[in-house]
Amino acid sequence: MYDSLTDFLKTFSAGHSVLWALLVVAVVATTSLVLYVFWELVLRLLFSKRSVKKTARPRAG
Amino acid sequence: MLFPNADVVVNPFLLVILGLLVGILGGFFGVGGGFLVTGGLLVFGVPATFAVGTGLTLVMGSSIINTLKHRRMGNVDFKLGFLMVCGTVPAVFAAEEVIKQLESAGVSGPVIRYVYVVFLGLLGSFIVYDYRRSLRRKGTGGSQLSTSGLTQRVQALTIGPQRLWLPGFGWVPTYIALPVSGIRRISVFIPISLGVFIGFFAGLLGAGGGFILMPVLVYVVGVPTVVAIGTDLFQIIITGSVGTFVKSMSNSVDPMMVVIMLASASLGSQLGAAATKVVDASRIRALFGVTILSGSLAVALRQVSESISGAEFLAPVASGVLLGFAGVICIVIAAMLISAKMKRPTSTGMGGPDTSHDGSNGHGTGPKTITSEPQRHEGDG
Repeated sequence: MYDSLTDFLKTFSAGHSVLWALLVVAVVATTSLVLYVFWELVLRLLFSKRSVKKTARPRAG
Repeated sequence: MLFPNADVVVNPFLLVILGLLVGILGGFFGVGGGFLVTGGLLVFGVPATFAVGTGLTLVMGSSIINTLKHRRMGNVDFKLGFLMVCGTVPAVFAAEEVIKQLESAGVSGPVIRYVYVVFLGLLGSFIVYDYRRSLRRKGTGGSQLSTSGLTQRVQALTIGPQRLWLPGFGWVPTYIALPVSGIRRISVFIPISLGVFIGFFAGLLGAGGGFILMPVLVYVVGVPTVVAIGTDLFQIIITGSVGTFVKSMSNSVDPMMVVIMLASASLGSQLGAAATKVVDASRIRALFGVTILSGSLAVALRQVSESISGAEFLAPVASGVLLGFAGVICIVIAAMLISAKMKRPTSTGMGGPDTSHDGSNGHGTGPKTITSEPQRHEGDG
């Protein structure tokens, strides 16, 4: 898997400069969007759980 | 781990740390962090051409994440950003021509470094001076800028005709309102000219230009600090994408390295952007000034290492200074965020619903020139 990826990266970047540049821009932009959505969801989940815990805490006495 | 495009072995853990630093600083200051990534990658043994290209690509990616985060917080003035990009992109290419001329004369390296040291030094010193001045006047004006007179004059400038004929658009007004920035009326030629100035310097210095644009927007145009940060990041997406495309064409980008750094930068961005909600605007500017001064010091050390024989050991020291300062600043930002969270436990700030609206965002109803900056909160824009 890693070897075939390495081969692809090396050969494609050397042979198709414009397509390679477009691919790099597209991959980085897509990865950024996916990571943004991922962390937004994770942090939302984390904070909503925390606020639920706070509201559900029973009062003393 | 071997990175095939750069053909170099780098510990991925170091890349994760570097990405995290870039993400936090990018989200907090609205800079791409190109100067930091390139310096860090050089220390890790990445060849110079790949360090610059890979750094620029990470800047593009982290700027996308940071802009999305700041957009959600209502901190991005797209109208202002688009106007500046009109000036920035052609100016970057003009700067490329100047660099070629300097290279043919064999003086590009030292000239660029001297400009860097002087420019960053002056800018950083001014920002720190302004912060100290605002501290002295705390009782009278809070975070009032020392250039409030200048921002008023810039916004009142009358340049060219009131309307302009554009093919396909017809007559378009040359004076517009920028409600997100709290500016009622400004000539479009002002942001375009600023874009030209910033694009030229950014192209000359081989950076995204974020470290110049943020203070210019705050101190010259009078844009609130958090809006300047968001708009700055939006503009870096455009310049970063153009730079990434050009560098990829010359095969000086390692995408595997970028993806690893981006994974941690995305988390850092969330933290940095969240911190802008709870940290006072004048403190953001003061930390930015210190970061810029550390950048100036690092470049000065590198110049000394190259110009004086026997001082080569200063080159890694320069990168160490830059990374060390960045690390310390990130720790300070994290500490500020944590202390603010402990004081205000109901406000989530990092993706959750925000309950801390105060309605004071400087939109429409306030004074037309922002001289003292209220904190903006998510959902206000």
